Amino acid sequence: MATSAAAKSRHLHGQSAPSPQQQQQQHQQHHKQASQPSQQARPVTISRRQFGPPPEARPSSALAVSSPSNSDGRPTPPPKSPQSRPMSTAGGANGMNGSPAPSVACPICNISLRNLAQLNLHLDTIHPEEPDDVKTAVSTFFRNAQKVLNPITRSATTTLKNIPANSSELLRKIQDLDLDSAGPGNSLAGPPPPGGFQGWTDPRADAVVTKRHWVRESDRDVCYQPNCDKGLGIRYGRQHCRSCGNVFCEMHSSFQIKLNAQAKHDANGLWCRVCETCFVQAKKADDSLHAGGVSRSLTTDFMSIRAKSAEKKHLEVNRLEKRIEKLAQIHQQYGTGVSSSPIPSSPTGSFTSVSSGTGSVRAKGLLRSVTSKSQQLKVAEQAIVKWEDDSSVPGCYICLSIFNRYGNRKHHCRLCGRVICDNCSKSTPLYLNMVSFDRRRPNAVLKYYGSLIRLKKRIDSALPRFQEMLTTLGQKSDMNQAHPDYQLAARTRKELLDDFALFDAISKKIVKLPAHSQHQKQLHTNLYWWATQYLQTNMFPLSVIPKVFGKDTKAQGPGSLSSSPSLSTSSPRLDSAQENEAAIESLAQLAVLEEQRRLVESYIEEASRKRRFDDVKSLTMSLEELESEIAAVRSGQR
Amino acid sequence: MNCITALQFYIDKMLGDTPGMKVLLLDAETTPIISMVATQSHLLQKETYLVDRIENNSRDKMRHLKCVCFLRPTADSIEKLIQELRDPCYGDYYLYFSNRIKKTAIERLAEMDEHEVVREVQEYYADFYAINPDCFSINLDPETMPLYGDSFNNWDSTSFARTADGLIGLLLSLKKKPLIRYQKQSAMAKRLAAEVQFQIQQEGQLFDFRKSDTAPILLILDRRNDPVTPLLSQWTYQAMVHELIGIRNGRVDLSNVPGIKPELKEIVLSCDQDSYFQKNMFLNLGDLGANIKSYVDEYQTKTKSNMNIESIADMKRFVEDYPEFRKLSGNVSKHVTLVGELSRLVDQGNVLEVSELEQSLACTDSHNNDLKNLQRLISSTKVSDASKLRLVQLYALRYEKFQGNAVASLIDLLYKNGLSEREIASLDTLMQYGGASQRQDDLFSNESILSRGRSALKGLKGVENVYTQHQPQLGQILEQLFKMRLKETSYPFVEGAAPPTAMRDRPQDVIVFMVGGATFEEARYIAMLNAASPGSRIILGGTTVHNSQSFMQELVRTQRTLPSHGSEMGRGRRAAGGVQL
Repeated sequence: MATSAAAKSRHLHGQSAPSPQQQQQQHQQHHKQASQPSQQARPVTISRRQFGPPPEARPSSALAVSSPSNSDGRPTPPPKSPQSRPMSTAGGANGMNGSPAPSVACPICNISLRNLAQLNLHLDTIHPEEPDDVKTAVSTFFRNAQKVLNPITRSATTTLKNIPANSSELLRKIQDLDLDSAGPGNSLAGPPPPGGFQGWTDPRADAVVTKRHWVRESDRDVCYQPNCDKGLGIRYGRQHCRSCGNVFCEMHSSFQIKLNAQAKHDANGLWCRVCETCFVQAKKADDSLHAGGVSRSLTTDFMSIRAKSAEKKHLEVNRLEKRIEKLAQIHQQYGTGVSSSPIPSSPTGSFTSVSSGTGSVRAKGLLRSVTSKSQQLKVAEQAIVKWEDDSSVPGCYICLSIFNRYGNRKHHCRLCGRVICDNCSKSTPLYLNMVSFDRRRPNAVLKYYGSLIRLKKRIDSALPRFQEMLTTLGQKSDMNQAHPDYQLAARTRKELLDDFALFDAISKKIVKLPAHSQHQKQLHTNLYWWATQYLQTNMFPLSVIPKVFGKDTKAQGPGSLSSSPSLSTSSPRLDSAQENEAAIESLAQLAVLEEQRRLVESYIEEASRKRRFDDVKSLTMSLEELESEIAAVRSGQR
Repeated sequence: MNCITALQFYIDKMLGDTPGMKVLLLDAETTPIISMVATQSHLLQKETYLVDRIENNSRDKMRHLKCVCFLRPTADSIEKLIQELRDPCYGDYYLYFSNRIKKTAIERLAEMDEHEVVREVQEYYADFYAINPDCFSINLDPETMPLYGDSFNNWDSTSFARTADGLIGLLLSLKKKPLIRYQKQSAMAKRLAAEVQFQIQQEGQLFDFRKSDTAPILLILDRRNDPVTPLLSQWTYQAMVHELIGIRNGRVDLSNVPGIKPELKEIVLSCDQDSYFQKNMFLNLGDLGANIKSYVDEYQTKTKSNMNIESIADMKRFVEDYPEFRKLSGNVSKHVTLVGELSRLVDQGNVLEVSELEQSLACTDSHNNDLKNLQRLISSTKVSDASKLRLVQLYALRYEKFQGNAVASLIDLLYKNGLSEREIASLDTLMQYGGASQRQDDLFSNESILSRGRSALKGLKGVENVYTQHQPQLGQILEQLFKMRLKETSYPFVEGAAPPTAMRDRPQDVIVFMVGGATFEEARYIAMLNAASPGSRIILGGTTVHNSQSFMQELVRTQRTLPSHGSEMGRGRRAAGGVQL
């Protein structure tokens, strides 16, 4: 019970002087632990001697006098004489750090520090030259300290007599204090010090963030950071990473992230000291949450606006389409199939002009016939849409030209019925079966490309499978060529090679397709380029594979050029059952070699174009060798 | 926090989400944005077999292709897109805009899409130019988009809108909702800060990110506070190439180099695609020379091993390695040429001597010595006119407040050495732009006794390299920021932006934006800082990336267009003399 109370009060110790009663408690604890020695005894126990100075002699009051009077505005660190050394926080606050040294609290931000040197450093880095601030900060500090001290002393006096009985109540009170200090308005914790202090832990965090996962400390701890073997203690400090719980030296635990009560990284938690590993991990997790930029889709907005405006147009277009359909029917009915497409104007063009309402359509050919049939047709046409009365129209409504009897004749648009001049009307063909409106014709490139993609998919799925087979084959020592696994692998490789060859062939077909324009040519070339790149990256690893297959044969001949016949001589060496297999093998070999030869040839061409003659020389050499190799394989086949 | 991967994410997404043969249509701004971070083979892998400009009217109809349009939603591009939709060249359209598009524009587009070819409309906020992983630019073109309005204190309205859009784009692509701080004395920084803040609030839905430990900081600075950094000669690879030759959208124009091979007339310098450049971009010329040598040696051993092919295995290896080898040989010749050209220019311009004096002027307090050297260099015939002028500019900036400075006599000396009135008038422009009264901070650490003492202390320590001893002022500001010492009085938060607790957290992610242009010296500084401290990540951006030439050109051009210019012209010389004060 006493131990847990001490742990709870740790935080309090960090802020202000312990009450006598707490001293007593700790004293008790000391005795307890002395009687049952444990590993934890060292950091937590405090010798009685350390509590020596009476309340008046506490450095806090000494500071109150000295600081404001300081000329340069800096708070003077407490004098170092043993009597006035700031004992206020003693081992309690540092117990968690495992340092037995007495610690001090910063008069401005209340942060607890290990020793005077650190306080000095802290004051220098965090509270530089702020004369006004310091004065107020120091005075508020004391006012606050007073406030806090009062209830403690009061509760202390009341409970002092019956500690054993009432310790639970005390515990509650201390807890209350802790909670209060965690509250935003409480002045005990003060304003959190600026985060400029590296590895700073929010004073509230000690009460909130769990410590269950902390590793136990021992005397011979070294910093957990890889490549850091500093012994932990006074010199290098001793800190628990609040996140992973391992112990580190001061330097390697100087990072801070926010942790929640479960010591997990949480942006709503409290600042805690952590090690570099945890910091980097937290940052990474943060980044992955923030990975990939924002985007906003306006597709639905766009579609709904388009749908609205399209609806109107569709109504109009639908009506016209219906009419054109009817027109076509009528013409079919009256058997004027020929006259339905009198003038070879572009069908789509005039169709658009109708739908956009700027042009008009008429079946010109019909006007030429003056038979009664045409009269009937005219009536039928007028039944579709009412024709405008000729006589009331002085001019064309599109071009506004005035009609006259001879030069500018009147026509009726068969779709809207209005009167227009000859120039503004266009004859449009009527498709009597209304099917040939398909806009997309199948395209050669598209077809080839589709098969390329299909092939690529097949290769992409087969390739890893094949690699896997190879590795398993390589691991088995008793592998011979009759083994079913081997046969399977050989088959797969054959298939892959075939696919590659096909891929290559198709890509060549694409580049040879007739191009009507520069852009199309560009497209074909780019497609070819992509295909070549794909082959280069994927086929070459494949061509290495025969080495693995031919391991047994290779072992005999030296790895020089003279070994090349061994590839061909290997076939006679095989027994009859494997002959067929070997033939396929050498065929595949041949395909690879041929492919390589082609590549080298293209390299030579390119190199000589770029005038890299060194390259050309070495390339030509390898080409010659390739050719002799191919010849050898061919002869071996036969 | 990586500009390049942020853009690549968008590119991959827009191309990857649309399967099938594609054409990519870009406009004048998105073309360089894309080309700086993506290679053609990358686009090919994403089934993008054609890349074209939307302005190009002679495109063929290829209905079998899908079309991905990535456009900046400017009035121009929208107009072009409407024309395209009226008479579509391709089968399906997938529209991506690089920033927020106006509702009216969407309506117009939707109404014009009669053929119903549009399948997708999205905003992908790739609206900035990524140079390094931690350096970006808005790339304001001085010709079409001048930075300044009617004075050095005012934005031009177009460039203002462009810059704000670019910053919003950056924040969205990195998913950062920052607290904004700005340089108090700069009206431009203040206006930009307020605008970005306003837009963030307007687009609350977009800026709805998960909270991170500390709110990121967007710090908006003004070039006027530090006019010295862009004037200095540079010695690290990337900065040097930009200073001496010029990097434009990741490309270097070498066509003026004597005896250049045709394939090297324009080269690409990208730290994303060129691993050699990535390794060496921050090294100084000396180290670079050594590295280039080992690079060439590596190449030569490879060539040799390629030359002696003895076995079938060798041959196979050769064929396999050849594409890689070809790439290497291209890269080697690229860098050898570039470094060769750099050292030629250094020799030609006597840059070593000039740079030594520049650094001395910028970093140390030694008036008499510097003045003597300066007079000697101005009289020298080996030093270029531009360098002479720059030295006097640096001198004038440095000793502006110094009793008994010799600016007037130096100007006379410049006249004697044949510099024109017009060139010398730029000195006056610079003083108006970045003289002591225009600067907020103590640039030369000579304004108070304390800072003088500090700089004297720094001097005692000695310097590692005389030519690279200058530290951009940005460094000091960032140091203060990370130590929580950056004063709110001089770098305030935008009104209503900072909740009171925000102050207390040590910043971890910082985006610095330099109105008036960043420099590669600063970019290098930031990169070094990022590498040294895992606890903080910084990205630097600017309205552009300046070298000394572009920096002065911008100032002079602005000065000429200013309304007050007429009266300034006549007293150019007098005013320049007036610097003496």
